[in-house]
Amino acid sequence: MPSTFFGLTIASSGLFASNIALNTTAHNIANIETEGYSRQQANMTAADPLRVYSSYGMVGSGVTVTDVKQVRDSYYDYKYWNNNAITGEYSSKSYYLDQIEDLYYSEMTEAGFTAYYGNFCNALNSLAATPSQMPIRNQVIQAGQTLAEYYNNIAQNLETYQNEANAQMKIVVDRVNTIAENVASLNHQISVLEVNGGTANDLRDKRNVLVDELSSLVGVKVKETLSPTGSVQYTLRINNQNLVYGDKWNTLTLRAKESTEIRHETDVQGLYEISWSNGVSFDVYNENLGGELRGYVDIRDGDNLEQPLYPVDETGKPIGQAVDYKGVPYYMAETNEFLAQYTREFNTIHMNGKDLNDKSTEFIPFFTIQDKSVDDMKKAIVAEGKAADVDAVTGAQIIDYISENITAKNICINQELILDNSKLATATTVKDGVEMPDLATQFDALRKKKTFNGGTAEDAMQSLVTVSSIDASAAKNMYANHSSIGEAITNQRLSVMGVDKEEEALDLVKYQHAYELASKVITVMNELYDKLINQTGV
Amino acid sequence: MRITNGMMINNTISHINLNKLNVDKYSTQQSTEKKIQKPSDDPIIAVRALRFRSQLSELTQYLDKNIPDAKSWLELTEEALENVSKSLSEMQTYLNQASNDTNGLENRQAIVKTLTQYREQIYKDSNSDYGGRRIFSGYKTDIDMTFANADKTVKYHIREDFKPEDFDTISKIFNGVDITKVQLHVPGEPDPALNQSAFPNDKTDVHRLRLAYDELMTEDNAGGAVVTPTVEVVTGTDANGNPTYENITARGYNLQIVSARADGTYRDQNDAEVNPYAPGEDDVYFLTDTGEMIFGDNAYIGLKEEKLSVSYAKTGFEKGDLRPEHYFNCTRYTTNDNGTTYAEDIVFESYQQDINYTVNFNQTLKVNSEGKNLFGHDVIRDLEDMINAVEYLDVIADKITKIGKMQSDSAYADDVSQANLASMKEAADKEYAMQEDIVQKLFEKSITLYKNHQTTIDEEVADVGSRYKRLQLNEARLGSQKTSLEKLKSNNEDVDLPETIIKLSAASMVYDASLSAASKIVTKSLLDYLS
Repeated sequence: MPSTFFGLTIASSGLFASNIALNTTAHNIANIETEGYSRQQANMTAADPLRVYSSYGMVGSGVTVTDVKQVRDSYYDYKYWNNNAITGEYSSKSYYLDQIEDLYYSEMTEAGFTAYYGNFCNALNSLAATPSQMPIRNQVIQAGQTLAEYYNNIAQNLETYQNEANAQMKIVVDRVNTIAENVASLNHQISVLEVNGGTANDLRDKRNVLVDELSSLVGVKVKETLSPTGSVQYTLRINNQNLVYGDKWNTLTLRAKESTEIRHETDVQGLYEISWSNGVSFDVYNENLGGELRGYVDIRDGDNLEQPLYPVDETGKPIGQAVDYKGVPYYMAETNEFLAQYTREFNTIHMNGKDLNDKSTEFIPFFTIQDKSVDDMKKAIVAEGKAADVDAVTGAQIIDYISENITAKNICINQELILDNSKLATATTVKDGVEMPDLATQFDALRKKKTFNGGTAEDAMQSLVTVSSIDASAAKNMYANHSSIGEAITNQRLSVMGVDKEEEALDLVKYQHAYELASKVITVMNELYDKLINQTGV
Repeated sequence: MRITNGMMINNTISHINLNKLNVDKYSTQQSTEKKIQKPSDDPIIAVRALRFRSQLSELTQYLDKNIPDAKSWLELTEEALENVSKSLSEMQTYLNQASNDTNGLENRQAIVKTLTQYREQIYKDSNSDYGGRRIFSGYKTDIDMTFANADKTVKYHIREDFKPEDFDTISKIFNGVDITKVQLHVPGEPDPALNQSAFPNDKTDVHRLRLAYDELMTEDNAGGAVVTPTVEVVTGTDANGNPTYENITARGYNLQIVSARADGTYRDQNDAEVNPYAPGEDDVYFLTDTGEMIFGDNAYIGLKEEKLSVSYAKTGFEKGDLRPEHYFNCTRYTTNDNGTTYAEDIVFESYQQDINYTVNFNQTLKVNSEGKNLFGHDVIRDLEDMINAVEYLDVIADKITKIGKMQSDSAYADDVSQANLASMKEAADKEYAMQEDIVQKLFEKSITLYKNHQTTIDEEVADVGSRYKRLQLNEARLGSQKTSLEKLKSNNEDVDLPETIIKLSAASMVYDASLSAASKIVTKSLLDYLS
């Protein structure tokens, strides 16, 4: 037979349980708009029954709140993080590719390659018919200048993008370091709190919010293992290396590359090399890297696995690592390769001629290198040991030199021609008349000449438009797809961990009633005791 | 599945966002009227758009620049050539008149004067220019066909080539009547005999090659080496395709350079007096004053089937002379600043010089007609021959008048003098008749030459006309090509406006709907119904 007052104990356990459940509901409602908050549930179980040595055997002893636990499915977290890494990567890629494709294609505003090159070709076509006309000669030079400036602009913008991507890498690295430190400190608090049992729900939520953020910056892997001592060991890995291990964390550092470490000739100065602060190397080209960081690295260093000819290390191998993506170095290389060939063809014709005064143009290139006179080039050729002295340098060597050194950044029209357009060579000789058009005709024929991998110059540049737009389109699509996958995963997460107003309202009503009933039980018990103690047998 | 408020809000936001994207897309399309704003929107449309643009830009160059330019050039050429043709036809009318027997000397002189004026008109037309470019000068568009002013200093070393058919035969009167040599009776002296040398020989036919210019230099050392007239036979071509020559002296013929002296005699380079129109059998006379080469019979027979090449130096150009650089391989020498020494200026080579305009994709059209094929030296030289012949006729007429005066002069009243004078008068009349015959033949020959010349011009006018026609056809073709290209371009990249407007209104309707749905979702919760 249990104690007469047993009912009161049972009632009070119900009162406590309802109270806790109400508090939990209040906590959930309070955090209804908190980012990353997972709803909590007070888990209850019937209290252990008592054997009362009577005919009916056991009696229930009320309710016990076993724990207040967050409702969260870590499976969706992993999915979310993996997807977030891809979304981050393509969001940064599509940001830059969007700008790169605009560089090569501004046709809607009539300011792209086709417009500038078309004007240049049309001017050359007029020149072939009227080589002696000063306005036409001026037109050729001016159209050539516009074309050269268009390339200067491309190079300048590409450099800007490379610089920006590089700067973004620094921002990412700084943020990764901050997050690592915060996660490690949370780990410490969690392990302290949880050592006495229970779960540190709200701290875990905080940690997950940080990892959510980190996962868009760089791909993450999270592992929680039980250590032999019974404590939970939390490991956060990026790029297959530990970033946070329990309450310890590693940081990344940045260092500007030395000039001997630069892989592409066209690379801007001061590109960062990332490594762990403890000296362990951090491979930014690893395929597990992921996240925005991966996007910035690909844009900054992507050379489509094409090995640059220069610069090379002492063993003759290209410095650094090839990156299988079409980033800034790829577009630079393709554009420069195009210019090397185009200017070679053009200069070869031009430097084989005579100007309007029948003077040889052997040393007057049309396209040349900014701030570098032909005399400078001659000296450089002599310095390379290719000629005995400056007088021994041939026109063909100048053509080679320009072709090898010209880039979108430094291309320009020979100043001599701008100052005096009579120096523009339109014929191999003008002694038969100023209208002799044999070279001008060759210039004109360049438009149709298929010397760029079997295509015309226009085809070659258009293929860059195709490449950039297809890549930009792919990046955009990847970003869009993974954003919507991300939304789906977020919803799946919310389906489990989200706080629902109706549910909480009902819980509120439900536990209020439970509380009221438990109170009622106490009232009833009170009346029973009153009857029993004060009125029975009196 | 458990649905939470957060999920509903997320979904609502993402749907609203999608709808906003659509509204934005169609409103941008509607305002830009372009299907794509960035190539990545649709790389295929983008690249196709590039191709259409570059084709259009090329086509516009042909249609809007080259064809109008070529048309004006051809129109100008046609106009100039038609003027020349008109002049030549007028000249022929006058030549017909002049060749008529009944025309007197004065009439002929007037006709020759008129012809000279027409010739000037022709050479004015030959200098026509289009935007500062001479249309008949080949590649030397900055140089007139003729000398605009007399140029006494510039020197040319010229190589002139002849074909066998360039040989012609001319009639010349040697030893015309010389009235100063008439032997008159002087009282107290014995009767003089008739001086036969004062009477003309018969006219003779001689073989001649006429050079492009007269008043040539017997020798010149401009540029260093001494250049004297040289006649060579073209024997073939060397490995490089350049012609090889053999001097006619190597063939056993003698080249005598004959020039007139102040005393009126003609002498060769050895100062021996010669008759310029009676060379020895193996001799070739190079007459520097008239610019002719007279061939002896053997020399003619030996060389008449050969291609000959003659080098000579010429200075002292008259206004209206054709500039040698348009016609011959030649070297020009101009004086230095102080006018003392000559320096080589430009070596000209003569070959076909076409000015081509691109008038369609991969199609060019020659616009220029080369003056060297249209305005020959023959016209000038023929006229000069005529002027000289008519002038000589005048000289003879003058002689006849003088003899007539002497006959009626009382000083020569004696029988012997009268007999002498009568005989001389007879000779002079005969000479006049012979010269008249020569003049007439010359006029007749010139009619043929001018007719041929006009035919050449007319053929060129026809050719210009057919090229003009081709240009017009190309213009029409390019015009329709442009239209279809523009249509293709528009089809490729421009939006269908009605369709876009409908899509936009549909999209904004959906957007409205999603907003109103959202407003319902976020405002209600269970709490509204719990009391």
